[in-house]
Amino acid sequence: MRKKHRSAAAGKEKYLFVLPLVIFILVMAIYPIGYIAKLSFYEWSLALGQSPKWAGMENYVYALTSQSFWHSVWITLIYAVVSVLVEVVLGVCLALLLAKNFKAKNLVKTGFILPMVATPVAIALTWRLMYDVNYGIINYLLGKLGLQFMGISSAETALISFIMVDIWQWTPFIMLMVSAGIASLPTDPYEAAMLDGATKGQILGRITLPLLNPTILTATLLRLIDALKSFDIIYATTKGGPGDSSKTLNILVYEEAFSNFRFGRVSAYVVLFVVFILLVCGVFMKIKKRVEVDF
Amino acid sequence: MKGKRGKQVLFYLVILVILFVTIFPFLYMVLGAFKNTADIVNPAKTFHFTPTLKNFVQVFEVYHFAKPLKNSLLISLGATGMALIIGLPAAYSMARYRQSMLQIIVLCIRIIPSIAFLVPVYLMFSKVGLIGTYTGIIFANMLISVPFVVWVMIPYFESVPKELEESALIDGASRTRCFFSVMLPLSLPGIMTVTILSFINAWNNFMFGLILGNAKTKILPTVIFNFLSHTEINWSGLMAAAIIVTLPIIVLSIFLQRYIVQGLTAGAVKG
Repeated sequence: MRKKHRSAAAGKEKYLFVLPLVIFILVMAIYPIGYIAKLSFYEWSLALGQSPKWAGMENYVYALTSQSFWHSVWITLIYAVVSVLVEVVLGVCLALLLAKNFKAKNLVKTGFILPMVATPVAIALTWRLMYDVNYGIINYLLGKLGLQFMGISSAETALISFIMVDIWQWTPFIMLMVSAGIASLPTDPYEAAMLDGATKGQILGRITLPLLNPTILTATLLRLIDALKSFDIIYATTKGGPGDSSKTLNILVYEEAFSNFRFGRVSAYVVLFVVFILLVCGVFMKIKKRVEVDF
Repeated sequence: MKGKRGKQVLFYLVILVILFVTIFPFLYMVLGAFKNTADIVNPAKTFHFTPTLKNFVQVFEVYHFAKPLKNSLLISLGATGMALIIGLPAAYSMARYRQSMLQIIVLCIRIIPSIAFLVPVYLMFSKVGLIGTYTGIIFANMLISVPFVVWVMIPYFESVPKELEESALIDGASRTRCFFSVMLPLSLPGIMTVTILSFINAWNNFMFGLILGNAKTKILPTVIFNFLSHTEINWSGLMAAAIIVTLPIIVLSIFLQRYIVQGLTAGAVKG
């Protein structure tokens, strides 16, 4: 009798414990996504003071045939893929380099987390000054060699400048993730390899890297998700400019919504943006699974 | 022996160079904040200049940073507290009962860009009068902190041995009791980790304040951003402002490095 009572209570608690979360998700995530999905079929510009008017697929047709939308898709992809690729290569090398114990390791680690945790807007301002053509340190040093780098003030170099900031900021993330992976590596394969007289290169290529593969791929995926959403540093400095040379999807959506107030059109953008991110992640996870099976 | 020593020197040299590149922007920020307006626009004076404190005074007296500082603190603490209240019991339940559907939804919220929620949430909030309120910005921040708490805490709760919990249950404790007096104390390092990182994420967040804040609820990242729209930029004042905004986070990171590394790399090994 008592036992039955307890299990019934446990059953209730199962729902009670998640109830606040479920309510939060319903109000702040599921309802808003449903709302925006519905709005994407309406024409509604808040600036003109109209009320929403049924528009069918019009917003989607507009988005998918507009140059500015595809431009932003392209910019977002280049930004994310190039940044993350470089970060993974550098981060893995750094993690391997720092794998052994040495003096001041903790100090180095602290230094490495600073770019990740510092307030992005503050970082953005500092880099803007560093990149500045007249006042910045980068051009001052380049000037001594007779060179000049326009940085974020030229449409040609803005995107690469932001990619460089991203690499500076997030390479340590890959490094820390891979370091955590290295710390949890099993010791037996190494003992066996030592007995067999394997070289350092063989151990790295045949044991360490394959064992680290899942960690590296997880780190890459996490980084990719965030790189596809990049907003803060770009918006706080160029707002996607000069022109639209650094206008990522996130900035395009922000602008359409909160500068132009075209809520119907922007809803279609948002739906496509979400589909785009889920698609990229989905493709990546497929690749990840296949690679993991191979090893 | 000699070769070994040479190798070690090279190793430390490489590390020093990497560390310098990582730290340099912060150094640059600090140097800039102590310069006067004439020195900061002269890159030849990057390291040689007469330091001044007037920029820091200016940030508070001319740019009125006290209010946004208070707002940022209030919102970050609020979002962190709420995320713990909602996230911890939910993570515990998900760790024990494997509510996989809910786990997938939480993961999706983590993946979907905040702006996708923010556009409709902005419209919803304007209908119910939550624009420009602390509550509104705290709720928006929870879209990041709640999934984070759940995501990091599920494996933590899973790693607590079931026997400990079962023995408490046999002693007649309810699940709720068990959660508060067995699970939470045993997961304290994890709770520290999610608390610190939720706070940092909320403190650093720019977009929510930008969209949902108003003059009364301005937060630090949005007020420094405002400096940039001025036609003539007061660079040294800006650098001082940037320091004031990031300093609390930097100090936290230096003292609580272990927890921050843990939080940042959550999921590294399990995948």
